[in-house]
Amino acid sequence: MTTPPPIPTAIPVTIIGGYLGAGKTTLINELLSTHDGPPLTVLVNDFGAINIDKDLIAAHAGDTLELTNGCVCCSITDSLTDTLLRLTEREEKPHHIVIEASGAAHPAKIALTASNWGGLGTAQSLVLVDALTLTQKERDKYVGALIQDQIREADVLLLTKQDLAPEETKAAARTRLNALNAAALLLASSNEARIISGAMPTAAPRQLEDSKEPQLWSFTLQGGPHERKAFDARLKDIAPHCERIKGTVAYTDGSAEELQWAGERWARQATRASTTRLVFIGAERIDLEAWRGRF
Amino acid sequence: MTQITVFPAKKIITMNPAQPEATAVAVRDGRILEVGTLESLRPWLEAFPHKIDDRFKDKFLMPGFIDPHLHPSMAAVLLPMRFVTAMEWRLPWEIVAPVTTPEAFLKRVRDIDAEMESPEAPLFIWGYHQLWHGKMRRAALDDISKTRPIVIWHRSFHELYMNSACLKWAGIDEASAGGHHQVDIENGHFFENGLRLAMAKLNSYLLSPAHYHEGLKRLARVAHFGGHTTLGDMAVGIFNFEMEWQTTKTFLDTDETPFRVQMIPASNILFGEKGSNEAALDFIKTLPERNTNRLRFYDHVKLFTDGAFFSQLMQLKAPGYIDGHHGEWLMPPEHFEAAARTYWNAGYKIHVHCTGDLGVDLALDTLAKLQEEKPRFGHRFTIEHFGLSTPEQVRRMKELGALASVNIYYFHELSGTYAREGLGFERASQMARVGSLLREGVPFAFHSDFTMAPALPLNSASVAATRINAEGTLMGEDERVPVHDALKAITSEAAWILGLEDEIGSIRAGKKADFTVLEEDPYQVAPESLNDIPIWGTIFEGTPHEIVR
Repeated sequence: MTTPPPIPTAIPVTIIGGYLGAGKTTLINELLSTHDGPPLTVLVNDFGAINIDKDLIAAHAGDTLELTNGCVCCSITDSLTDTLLRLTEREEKPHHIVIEASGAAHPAKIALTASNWGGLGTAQSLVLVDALTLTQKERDKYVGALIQDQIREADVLLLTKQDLAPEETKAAARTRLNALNAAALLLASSNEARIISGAMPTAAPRQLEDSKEPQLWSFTLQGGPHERKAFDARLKDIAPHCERIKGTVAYTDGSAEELQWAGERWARQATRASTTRLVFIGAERIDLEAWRGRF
Repeated sequence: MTQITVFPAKKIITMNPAQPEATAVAVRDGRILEVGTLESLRPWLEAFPHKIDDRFKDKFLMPGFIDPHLHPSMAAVLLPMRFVTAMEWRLPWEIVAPVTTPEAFLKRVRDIDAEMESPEAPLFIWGYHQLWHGKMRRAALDDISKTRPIVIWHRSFHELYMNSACLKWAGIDEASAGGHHQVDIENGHFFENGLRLAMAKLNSYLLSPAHYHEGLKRLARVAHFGGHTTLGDMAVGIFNFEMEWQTTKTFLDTDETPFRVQMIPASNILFGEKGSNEAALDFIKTLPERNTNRLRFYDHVKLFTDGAFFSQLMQLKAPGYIDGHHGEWLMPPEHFEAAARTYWNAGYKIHVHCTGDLGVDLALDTLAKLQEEKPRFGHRFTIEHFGLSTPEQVRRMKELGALASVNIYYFHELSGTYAREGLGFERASQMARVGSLLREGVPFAFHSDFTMAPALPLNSASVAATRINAEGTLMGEDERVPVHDALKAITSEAAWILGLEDEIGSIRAGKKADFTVLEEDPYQVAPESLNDIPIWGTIFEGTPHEIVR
């Protein structure tokens, strides 16, 4: 696969969710400052929290910030739907939309709002969870259920503030995330989160300056159910090009499986699900749209 | 000096416990000089020129009705639409007869279409419900018109259907919306988040001056029709703060408008616009400079906790919903607390939208914390809507000095359904527990949250006094209140909750001369018939305004 990938027909959408204090704004600030590649359009709730080095700001007008790397950051002033409508009806379409969900939001609901219309692809939700406060927040009378819902609805999870957490706190948090949502992909670092949030097929895999990790791409497959044999064959084809695959597949015969591909090995087990939700992450340059089309 | 006008009446129900009844009231310059008898008014009448206006001598005067919580902007969007509904709706310009079969529904739409002059003018119908009207299809609407955009709006407001002409008119097609999870283009069906997409396309029409202005004029007629002389706009800024203010000023601030509107800003929306609670507060502080005689901003502000009652998104304490789903916070609890603290410390009277019992807990826990930090008397912290609650929360409201503004219509429309789905009988039968409020001595008012419930205060009073729901079932009989307390909730107690007790809410010397004129005595009819009492009209600041049918 040496030909450059075509511009995707659907605009990728990434939702960054999680409760207050989980690190959404920090991640978005990092993402905006360090992004290199097709520009991101980042929609945020609280414009005032965006903190970018002055040198990186190309223009600032009202509730829109344009950066020298081409990224644009704007606040969701009225409703998310209206904001998305304005963006997708422009002549120059966004390359990739990143949505910062409100701390009180259910990521699945935002995904329903921001998927598969007006040229938008299926939204992928990345939910941030504060490793230090998870136990306490889960017990909170008001937001305990919300935080569990947010974790359950995630495609991808990131445990933040790991550098501040003792080993046993981190381990306990990881166990908890796995118990609530075994199908979601648990990221190793905020670097990975940054990459996934801005993931797009790019001309060539590149190294991030401060990282040994290659430039990644990622997409989420949703829908189904799928015919088992045909789906299996396609999975086997794509797996060698992927770093990780994780999620749930629903089959037409009524069965479902939880899948995980990592380190060139499959782990699969029967589960119960009526729809497919599978996250693919890879470092190798492939024609993503073509692959996606085959499922 | 202006002449005194005296209104004799068969009975004047004052809602002033010190003098509950009278037979004549003297009015000058929009204020009550004295209420009593023609005999007791003599010192006034001997001292000044006066006239006796005896057109109400066989009628019943009450203090002008007050709806402390409705949304003129939302009403302005809905009211220009044609109503085709399963239940009777009484509107000033028509009594909408119930339409209860799929065939009758389509026939009614077809008849309305045929009545319209221009074949291209859009037609918006509100009130469809599948329980009565069957499955709706785009093809069936195309049969009615291929040229006129037709929108069929669901009674719940959460979904709508369009015909092909409308899809084209709105610029929606398979490519732009077909893949949305909550859009079925084949049938022209948009629901929940899909509805937001449809709304974004239709808003340029619904919020256009022609449509919106007509809607606001109709709202004025609806408010008058219900017998109101004071409204609370309990979230100025829902669509667009300045647009709402300007249009309200243009269309309601006129001599013909027989009511005043207390303007209570939606703090969360202003937070979004201004960037912080402090900036929003600074802005809100400037708003009274805009006041006119009829439109008034003051020291009241609106906050929100949990999600919509009609969508089962209220936040519940244990045992939660039967199906295990969770409600929603409209803002993170920490943000709610921060906003409440800002307005509390600035001395504002805070109205909190709370639908579920966990929402009530959040509001009361926050109130307790704020009382600890900065104790306040007379804070009038009000729980708005008060869908689900516990008896212990009511006692705690008393302890903390909180008030309740209740949407009693929740009980009327939803208690039957929610007993079967979502909540179970026990909790559904005790929603909007006004009997408990009365027992604990917590002041309470009724509101319509129009367009969530009909803006008919006597209807609210009737529901509270009977607890007979839309299915004709008596539920939660121990949460009933006597007729007198139900009538207080649409007059004196509503005035208290809006902080206007010195001006309105009862008939006594010194208050505004606002009266609602009834053809029958509400204490002499059965509680279930309160809403059938004909309303002649109102007197607003001394001037009679007859309801024109």
